[in-house]
Amino acid sequence: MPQDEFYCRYYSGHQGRYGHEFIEFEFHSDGRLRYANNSNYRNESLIKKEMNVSPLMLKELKRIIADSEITKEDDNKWPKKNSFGKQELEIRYGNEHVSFETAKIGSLVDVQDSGDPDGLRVFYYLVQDLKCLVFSLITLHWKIKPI
Amino acid sequence: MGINAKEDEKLQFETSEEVKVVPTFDSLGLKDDLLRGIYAYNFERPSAIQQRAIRPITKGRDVIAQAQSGTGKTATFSISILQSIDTSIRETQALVLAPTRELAIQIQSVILALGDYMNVQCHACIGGTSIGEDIRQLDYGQHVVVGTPGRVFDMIRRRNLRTRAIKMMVLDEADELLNQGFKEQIYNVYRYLPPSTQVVILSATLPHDVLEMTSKFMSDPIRILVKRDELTLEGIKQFFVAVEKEDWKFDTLCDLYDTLTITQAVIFCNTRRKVDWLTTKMREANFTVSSMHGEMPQKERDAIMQEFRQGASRVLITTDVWARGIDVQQVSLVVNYDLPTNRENYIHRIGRSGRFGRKGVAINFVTQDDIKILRDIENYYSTQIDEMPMNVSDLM
Repeated sequence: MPQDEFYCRYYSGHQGRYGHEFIEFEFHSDGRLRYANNSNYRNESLIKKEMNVSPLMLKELKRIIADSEITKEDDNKWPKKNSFGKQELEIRYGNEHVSFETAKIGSLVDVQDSGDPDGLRVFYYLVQDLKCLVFSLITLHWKIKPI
Repeated sequence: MGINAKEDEKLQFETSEEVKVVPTFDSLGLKDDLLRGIYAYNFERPSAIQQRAIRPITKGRDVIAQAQSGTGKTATFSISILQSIDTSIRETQALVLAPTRELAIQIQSVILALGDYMNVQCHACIGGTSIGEDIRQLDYGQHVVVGTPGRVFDMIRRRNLRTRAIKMMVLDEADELLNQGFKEQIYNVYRYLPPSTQVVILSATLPHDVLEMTSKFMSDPIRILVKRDELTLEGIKQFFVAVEKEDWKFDTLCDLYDTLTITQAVIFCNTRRKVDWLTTKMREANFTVSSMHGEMPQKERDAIMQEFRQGASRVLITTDVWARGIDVQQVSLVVNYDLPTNRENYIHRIGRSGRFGRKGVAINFVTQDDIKILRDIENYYSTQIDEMPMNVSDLM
């Protein structure tokens, strides 16, 4: 059933003095959430985490994505990837499949100064929301409450 | 056994499987007079690190203990030391090393408070104080010595600090003490300790290269570790303010002053000169601020610490001398006027707020170039650092 097909992946990273530093996460339609964080800073290495989220959580994720209307955007006029790295966002949702690539965004000034501030702002805030959701899920699944 | 850098890099360090969780202080099997001290100090339940690390330390194991900032590492080793020493023997049995004098003094006060019912003698052996007084205190007999590496080594070399009965060495802020600046001095001290001395190291940040190094001076350690992406605290909200030019940071700080004084705030600069400059400039603009750095005489440093701890001053401008371990619970705001020069100290600096489950706010001032460094820090710790909202004071 094509309307059930769902996939969402985000990547942000660069090659630098500490190797390939990146964070990446992806949701699959069966609820699988895969996450990775890599850095070779002071000999650190790849951290990988995988978990399953409930259909209700996937529904909420889809709502966030649908509300953002990101699928209407186009990355043509967004800043191109550069030596400081890139971000990628790929979403397959029903019949739609969008894939964005842009530079890392420092602050909202970068958004404003871009060729498509309205579109890039949608991306910027959606990424913020997705990261917030994923980091919360990871914390809930993995982190021991310190206090 | 040689050191093989290639192989070391492939080593994986995880929390040891044998680590057990002890849910209450009562079930830790502590001495009654120590337990009394713990409850009198208003501790009710051990924190995650205390539940895991106290037992292996008191059993005599070498321990590597990592936990988020402000979650009870000092009390972890203080309780363990107090459990392990025999106060009927008036000899130094535990040695704690810390990177700054203020931290050493703070640790001493925690040990004395927790050991209030034990008749424990604990001395802070730090630079910038009278050597004669140090010698007198040590000759009197101290069960526990807490100090900075330079003065401690000096006292050992002079034979005023006798190492014969030492059974435990604790390195607080271990990654800092094992950095280039301190490493040599730590090894100097270590060489004087009895070969069987138990070693305990702690920090919120233990980068992989530091963990690799531990095999040189620890044997079969119990490891309690936190991955870098689980290190930031939910309670500390992090923000940045993007400024076009360095000069604009000052105006931004002035605009924030009312927010700073809601409770207490610490402002970090990267150099002593900049601390002096910013302090002068703030005072010229009629703002009340205190300042402290490592070039000041110890007497002055002590007075500023006391003033700030008592809440008599609310805004402290300082260097990384204040980055690690210092616990002033009323601090709810940290400003990085300059970004720290390494990723570890980012965690330590923002950890001056949000102590023991409290809320905190960290605000980073960033120029166009800084923001890239901050974004790298953000990814490295899998955390979120957003632009500062208008209502930032509601979050404290």
